[in-house]
Amino acid sequence: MKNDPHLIQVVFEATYRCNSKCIFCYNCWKNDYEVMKEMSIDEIRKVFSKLPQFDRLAISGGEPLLRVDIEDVIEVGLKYTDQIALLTNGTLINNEVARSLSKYNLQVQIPIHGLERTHNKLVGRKDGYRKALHGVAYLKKHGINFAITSVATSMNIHEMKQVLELGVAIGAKELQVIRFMPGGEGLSNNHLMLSDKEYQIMLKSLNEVCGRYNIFGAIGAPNIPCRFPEKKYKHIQFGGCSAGIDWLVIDPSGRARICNHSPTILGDLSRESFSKIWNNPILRSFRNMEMIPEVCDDCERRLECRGGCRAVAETYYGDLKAPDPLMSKHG
Amino acid sequence: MSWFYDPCCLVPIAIPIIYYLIAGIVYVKKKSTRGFMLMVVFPLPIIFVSAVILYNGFRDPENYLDFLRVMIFLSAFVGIGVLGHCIHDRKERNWLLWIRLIAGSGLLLSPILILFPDYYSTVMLGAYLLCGGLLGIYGYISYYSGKKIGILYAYASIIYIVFMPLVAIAISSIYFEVAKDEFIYRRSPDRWVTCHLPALPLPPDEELGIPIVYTSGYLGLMGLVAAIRKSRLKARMKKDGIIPEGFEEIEKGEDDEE
Repeated sequence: MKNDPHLIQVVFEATYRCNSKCIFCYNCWKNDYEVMKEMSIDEIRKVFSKLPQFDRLAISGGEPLLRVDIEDVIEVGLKYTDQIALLTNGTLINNEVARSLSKYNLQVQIPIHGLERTHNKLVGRKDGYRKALHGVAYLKKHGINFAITSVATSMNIHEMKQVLELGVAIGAKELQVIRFMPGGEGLSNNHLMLSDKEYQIMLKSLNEVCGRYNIFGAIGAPNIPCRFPEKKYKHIQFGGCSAGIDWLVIDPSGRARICNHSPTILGDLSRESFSKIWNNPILRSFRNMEMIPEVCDDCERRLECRGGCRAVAETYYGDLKAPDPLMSKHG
Repeated sequence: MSWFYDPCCLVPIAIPIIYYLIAGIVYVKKKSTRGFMLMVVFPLPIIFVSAVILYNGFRDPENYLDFLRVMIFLSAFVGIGVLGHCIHDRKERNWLLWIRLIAGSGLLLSPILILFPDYYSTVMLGAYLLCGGLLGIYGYISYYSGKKIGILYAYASIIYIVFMPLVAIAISSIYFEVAKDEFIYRRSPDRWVTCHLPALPLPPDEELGIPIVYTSGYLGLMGLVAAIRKSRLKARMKKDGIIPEGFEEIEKGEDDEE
């Protein structure tokens, strides 16, 4: 439609189901997924047909490879964009799966959160590390590009640099680190949040590894530049929050959310039009920068950083206008 | 075309052709792109230089002047290798593929320039350097984009574009007793021979070649340093057990699961 926005990225959570039990999992529906109905492939087609033009599609979950029709989902996505990322824990990737995925020009994102013991503890399965890395090996065998993502927590920060180096060693195309942001299951594990010092270790580790091996590295959650100046980390790409502007999340039932970290439902795309959802008052207030915390009022860079992550403020403090926990002294 | 039938030229051409045939058979049997590139692109200059030195340079220094011409002729084979790799990677339709296609096509077509003796010295060298430089740039970018094979392109580029002319200069300085930094330019129409080596200082019409040569060399060298670092890192990670058992077997397709 004429006045529809041009979205940079749509995140489609393909399934509620997951075969890991990550203790930091942000998924807001983590505990009630058994009662939720997932869309069929026809319903997914219908929902996608309502979306405006978008550049990239990220297929996540749950664990998206638990959907038996995941290839159909990818094919639906390919009708709209050729830039598709598949966010999977890698444990279900075997020779056959990798061969099937190699038909599409995907980028697969595999999370490695620590060395073997730490990773397995964080994801709640004893074979998580080995299976994920074997999944990576199958991807490599079939020539599929992959990126390594890590959630930095107080539990794995001491080995973050090694994890990133592991990503380089196994041939990742990109490295991405996301600070732990409480939400869903993670809310009951707030001790995983990074202190200021730990957050700086995270940035330093990524910067060093990316510089040394000349590999692309990004921070996957908004930074707070007034507290952690970005110019010190020249090898890292920092991303800001674009919720409400060019980014939308669709859950497995077809409901739209501002961000994957936010539990706030904007509407149901399987029943409502996109424009109705896009003009939801919450989204409008995001677009109009009305959600920036008051503490940022005098800051010159407020429109740039938007007060950090609004979704984590919502989940942690119950208020979208609260400061990002990284901004306040929590650690 | 009498020079073509001269055994001094035929031998260095024949050796790589036989080599390519063997490499091609191995490639078809093993279906390994990396193996193909490793076998075809990487060792070719070494074989060629050895052949030239053995059969041309030492026997009759004058024949050394065919060096560049034969090198250009052989670059066509490299072009075939590069285009073959493009076909192998045709699913990946991005600008890197186009760089490779241009470089490969340029190398493949470059021998045509031999037919124009009055012009080829400048045009040919420019085209040759450009194609080689593109290969180096492609190698560098693709390596840092996670494609290991990129480093082979970078190697090939360094060897073809930087080292081979240096070898030529070294040979020329021995046989023609000219200073190493002297520009050699000889043309004898009866034999279509041109020796046109990119040694400094170059005449103005060669200025374009210099940044291409050194940029490509620099990029290749950077890729080489990163490759060594990455390779050491992987070895350390494997030794420390951080990369789990079975990873490499799966990666190389040597696992049982088929």
